Amino acid sequence: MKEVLYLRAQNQPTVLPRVFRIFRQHGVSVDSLSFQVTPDPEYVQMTVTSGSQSISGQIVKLLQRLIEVVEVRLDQPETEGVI
Amino acid sequence: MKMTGAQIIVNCLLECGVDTVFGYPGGQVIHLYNALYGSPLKHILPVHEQGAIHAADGYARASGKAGVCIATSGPGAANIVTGLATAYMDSVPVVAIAGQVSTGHIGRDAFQEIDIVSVTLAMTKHSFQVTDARKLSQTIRQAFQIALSGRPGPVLIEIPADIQQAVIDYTPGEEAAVNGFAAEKNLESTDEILSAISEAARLIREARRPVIVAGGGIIRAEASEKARAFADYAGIPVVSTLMGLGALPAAHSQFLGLTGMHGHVPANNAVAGADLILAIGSRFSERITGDRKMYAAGKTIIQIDIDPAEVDKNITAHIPLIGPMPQLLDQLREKLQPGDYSPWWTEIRRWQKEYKEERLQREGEDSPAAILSAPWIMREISRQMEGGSPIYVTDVGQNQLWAAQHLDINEPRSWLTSGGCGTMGFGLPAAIGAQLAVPSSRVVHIAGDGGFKMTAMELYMAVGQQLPIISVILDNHSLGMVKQWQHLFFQSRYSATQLPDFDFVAFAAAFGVKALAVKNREEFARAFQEARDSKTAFVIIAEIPADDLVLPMVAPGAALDDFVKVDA
Repeated sequence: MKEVLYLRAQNQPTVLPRVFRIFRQHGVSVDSLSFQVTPDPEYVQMTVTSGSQSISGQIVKLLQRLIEVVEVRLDQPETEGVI
Repeated sequence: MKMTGAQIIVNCLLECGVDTVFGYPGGQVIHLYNALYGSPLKHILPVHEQGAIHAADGYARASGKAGVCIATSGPGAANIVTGLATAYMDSVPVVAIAGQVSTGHIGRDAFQEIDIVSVTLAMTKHSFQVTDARKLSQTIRQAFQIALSGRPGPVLIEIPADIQQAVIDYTPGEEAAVNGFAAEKNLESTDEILSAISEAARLIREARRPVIVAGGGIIRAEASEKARAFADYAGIPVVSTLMGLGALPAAHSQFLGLTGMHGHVPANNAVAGADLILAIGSRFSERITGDRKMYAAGKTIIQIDIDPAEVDKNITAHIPLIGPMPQLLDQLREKLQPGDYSPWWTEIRRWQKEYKEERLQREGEDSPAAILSAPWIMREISRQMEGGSPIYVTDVGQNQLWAAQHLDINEPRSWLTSGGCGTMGFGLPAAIGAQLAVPSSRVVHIAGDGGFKMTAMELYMAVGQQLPIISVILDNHSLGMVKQWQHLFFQSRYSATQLPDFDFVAFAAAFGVKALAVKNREEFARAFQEARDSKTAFVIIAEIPADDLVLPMVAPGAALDDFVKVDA
């Protein structure tokens, strides 16, 4: 059951460290990660997959709060059965 | 015109409305200091950079403006880390300029090079590293904008020495390009918010036992008057968190006092017994909730805040109202038809009466022969400062909580305390910043004998600026709050909490500061009177019983009305 976090931010050197600091503090486990400058060089985008439900709504809010972050989206797959 | 980076920094600070900076020179800010020399900016020199950052913080808390701190690279920047964390935890607008080695030396483990941006990621709202002098003015303006807008917080700007030296074409007064920074996400009123407000108004009307929890956010939002108007109109009892003291006047008839770990009995009982909590600018720190499940059980929670990340973080809010507080309070008041809470008030007034009687019994009569205790000291300070526009600045520990419980705090920004971070040594330098920010007020600084010593050298800064700060040291020869926990939870195993004697009077004299050691109520009253009449810094050392505890107390993880029982 993968979670996919998508994030778009200003292309600034402090973006990556700030995002990963939040991950570290909140115990987010990263399965895979991709990061690139978008066609508009002012922006970067990052996609993180996490397999163990470690990305909570609270973490999404903390990422949204970052000054350089423009957009955050967490895609959680449909779960089978009853929650 | 041609200007150096350093001159641009000074220019921008002036344009951003700064008139005072707290800083300590060093090799990697020597160019900035060269530009400061003879500039209109008032520069305040501490003994230690920690003094500068706490002073900038106190300045900001007292004035609402951003406090500015300058430190050199390496150890200078490292010395402001605690202060940044202190400001961060209490949402204080501070702009910290840290020198850095020249761009060509970065990463070579140069002399006094520390990667301060990385170090402070966890305790800054944002940080910048300037590698192009042409971006300097825009960066500084953005730093102030970020520090002051939305939920305030500290912003660090790292400026390498060669950027300070660079000469570029600069036109003062240029509009800062917003540069597309998503500085504060727009929080306009939408239909969603309006319907949430209607729903909140309905729930408040239908509640039988509502309570307003007034938090520090009211003060940050400059929403004291609106909050008071709302409380008056709604007729709801009000309690305050540690950071919210002064948001509503202590003298207000609906005010029940401090709530939380050391909250007053009626305030905690009211919160525990409430069926609806309206939290205004409070982040539900575990210090005010106790056990979170018990706190929220059977209650409807309405939360007003500027920061969406504070909603549903510790306590689930049934109705979050996220946005600018003054507008939200206005809109809520418009929609609200006050309910009838008379049975609730009857119960509350009964608690208040019982508590008052019990406290009179416990703390003895108000006679000079009775012992010199911290609660009495706070009441005496309040009596003597009545009508005197005090700003109370505390250190951390028992002194802080006694002050919170027993001082009369009636104005926003008249109570400055390190709540979130609990930084010992905050008091004296913050008091200095506050006195400089509001010269018309009188700053009274309250500390314990432990915390005072941590930054006591800053008496040098106070005297250098001729500030008439009254410092009251509660001397119980202990690290009192830790000792209190050791007494209650560790069978009085006082590990490293008993402090040998220290001659505060001789110490203060070294700075040319008058100090009086007092042992009883009469001596204290006279000493404080003398301090008030003095136009210079003054220290009073009050000998209080070594085993006095801050009560009431709620043990960590307990319910708010489950008070620690202590043998008389």
